[in-house]
Amino acid sequence: MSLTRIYGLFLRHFYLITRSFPRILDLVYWPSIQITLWGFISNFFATHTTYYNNAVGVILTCAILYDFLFRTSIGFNMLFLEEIWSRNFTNLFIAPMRIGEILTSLVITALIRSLIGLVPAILLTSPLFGISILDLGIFLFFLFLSLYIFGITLGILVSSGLLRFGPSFENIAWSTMFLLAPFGCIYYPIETLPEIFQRIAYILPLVYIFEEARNILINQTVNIENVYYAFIWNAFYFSLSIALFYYSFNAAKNKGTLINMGE
Amino acid sequence: MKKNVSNIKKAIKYLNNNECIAIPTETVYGLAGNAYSDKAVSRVYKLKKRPKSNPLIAHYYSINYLKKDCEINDTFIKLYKKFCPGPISFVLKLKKKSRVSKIITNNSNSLAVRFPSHPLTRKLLKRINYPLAAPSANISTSISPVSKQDVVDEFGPKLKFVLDGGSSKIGLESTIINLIGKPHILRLGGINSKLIYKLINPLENKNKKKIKIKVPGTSKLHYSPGIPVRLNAKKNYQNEAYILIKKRKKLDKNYFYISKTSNLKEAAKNLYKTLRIIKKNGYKKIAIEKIPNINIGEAINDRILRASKKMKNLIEVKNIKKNYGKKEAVKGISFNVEEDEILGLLGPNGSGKTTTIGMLLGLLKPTSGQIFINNLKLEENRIKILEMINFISPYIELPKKLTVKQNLYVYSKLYKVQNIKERIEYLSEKLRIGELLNSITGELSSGQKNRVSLAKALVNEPKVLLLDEPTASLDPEVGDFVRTFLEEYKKEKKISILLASHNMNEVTRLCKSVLMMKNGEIIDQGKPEDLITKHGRTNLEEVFLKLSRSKSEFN
Repeated sequence: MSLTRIYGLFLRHFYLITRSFPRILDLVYWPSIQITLWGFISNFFATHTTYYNNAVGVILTCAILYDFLFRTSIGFNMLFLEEIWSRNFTNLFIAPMRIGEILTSLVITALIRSLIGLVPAILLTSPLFGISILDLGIFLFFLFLSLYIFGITLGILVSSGLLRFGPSFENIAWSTMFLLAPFGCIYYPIETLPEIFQRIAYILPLVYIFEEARNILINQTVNIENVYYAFIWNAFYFSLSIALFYYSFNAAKNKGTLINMGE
Repeated sequence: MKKNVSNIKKAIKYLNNNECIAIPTETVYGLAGNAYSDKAVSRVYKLKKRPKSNPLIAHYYSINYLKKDCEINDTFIKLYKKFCPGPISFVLKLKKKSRVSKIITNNSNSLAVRFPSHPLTRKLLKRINYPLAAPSANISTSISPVSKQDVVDEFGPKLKFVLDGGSSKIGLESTIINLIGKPHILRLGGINSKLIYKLINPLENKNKKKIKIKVPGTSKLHYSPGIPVRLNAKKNYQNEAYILIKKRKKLDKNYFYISKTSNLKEAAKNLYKTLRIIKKNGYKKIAIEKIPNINIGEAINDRILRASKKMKNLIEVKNIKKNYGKKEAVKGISFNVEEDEILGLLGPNGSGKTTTIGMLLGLLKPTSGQIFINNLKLEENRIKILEMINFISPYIELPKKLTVKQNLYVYSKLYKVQNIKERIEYLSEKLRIGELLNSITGELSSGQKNRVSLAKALVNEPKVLLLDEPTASLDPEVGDFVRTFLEEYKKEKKISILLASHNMNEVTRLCKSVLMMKNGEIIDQGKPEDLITKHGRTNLEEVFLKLSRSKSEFN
């Protein structure tokens, strides 16, 4: 692994973001709008339901967590798609970069992109709704880390699809998160789902993360098992995504997708 | 006489202004600059395109001038008295207070010195108060010049002045002897090694160690005519230039005598001149009759041996196939690209050119067969190989929103380029993109984008460059600029280029040989002129049309 090359690819995206005000605005704008909207919804629920009586910020906190996941995943895909759109894909893959270096660089860049959007959104919640996500305490870090890993995992899976099937896979890139959202139990407890959906939900790390966030905020207790299971499933899916990426890279080399990318 | 005096005055004027000029010597013509001036010697290196790691010989008028710069010993004095002024150079220890530019010694504490015997140059050296750094007046590794015309042919108007001293008397470079540690000969030349060893008593130096020193003119690929040379040839083959040392009864238009009477001194004098004539006449192969390895024959053989060093293949493709399902895109093709060669890859659309390039870049995995780049197997050394190759095509672009400078900086990082700033400056100057560095890449014209892409492709100083339609959609002027640049860059850096193009004039101009592909196979190959003759056509475009329209057995 070469840090110089990782830094080089990071710079490519850093220059791209810093050169364009609309891009920065895009990163900040949606999370802030999203959080504001969910802030008002959670305020409404807090005054009209008994379930959320004790924790006004539950929906808002979950919205922030979900947005972080969404931004990380989409951010990763965007970085990959950016190379295809700019017809720079071939240049990147004929540069002496190892797959690990490309992925590491994109992972770091995706994190920075997500934080650019998230930090202003978090800062907004306190003056607007009197809620601080920091109420989750030290476990906030583990929940964020878990979401970040899963967001990256989804990003790598979608990028594998782009490698294997070419730009036609782009539409799937946008819809993955929406496909998984119902099983993630982001805004509701898992019991809300039909049993068959619950089984699916239990093999995703999302349900453990959001269940635990609600548990901390509503019951003021910590169920370490949830954090543990989230990491186990993350490790599984992350390894699977890396393996799939390598497989797709080799498949693309056999099929010729790398040379025709962008056409 | 008067003309000589005025020419010497002119020469001194140039030298005092830190310009470089060509001077005659009894060995070969030298490209001279003030050895005390960094500026002047840098100009010598630049004009000669010589790597700075290769030191230069400083030319002095006499031992009295030398004493200021070098430490001298008894062995040196013995040799000096016997052979100087003359065709012998000495490697001596440099004095700490020496004013000699560090550039010509490559920052070492030794200096190669010589006292030329050519009367004009001696007059010149006597009238200046500095030594002259003067390597042979030719582009690095090519044939040394032995007349004013040779120098003019080599540099053209780039060199402002040549001091004309007629033909060089000896015609081969000086013998170089290292006098630091145990004396030993580093390069055979104008003085026979036996005469030198006869004079030095080896016993008086038996305890001294042989010290390895980097000296001028000793690289393996030196004095090369850029054409394959066959040694000790008893006969020549068709279209092969044949260099002879004694007269033959049967005359052949391809015979070139360096002597008709086995006179080795005459042969030495005529060798470089003859090699230049052969090259000018467009011969692609040279055979040389056996030269007796005695007296100056030793030096002649040394030069011929270096000239004959084979160029290595930087690209070796062995029977590669590529299938997409049942479709055979490339059907087992093999070819090589030598160092310092441009090979044209021609063929109609769908003939397998892009697939072949894709496999060479590691973007496509061959179904079978092997690819070696610089002797490394691609499959096992992908990263190492990608570090030494690069590619441009009008179908791929650099990130549009970044400035040119940002793009070059990013790719310099990806290729782990050292001294990025210098590299970008160098490429900006060479490709005339200095004024574009802060422009947004996406806002450039096609011609500008093309030059920027070329800069990106050269950022890692590739040994192998793959070009896919490098001048497509360019106006004639920019197209010509790119072609000229590629020619010069290849000559300077000795890189291999594989050029896929549909512009037959471009291919004829740039390529030493071409491959014609059709339906995934190589259907013909050879030098453009040979293919034109073979197919009875007047130009390569007609050959291309004939081959691509033919319903051959390959269809």
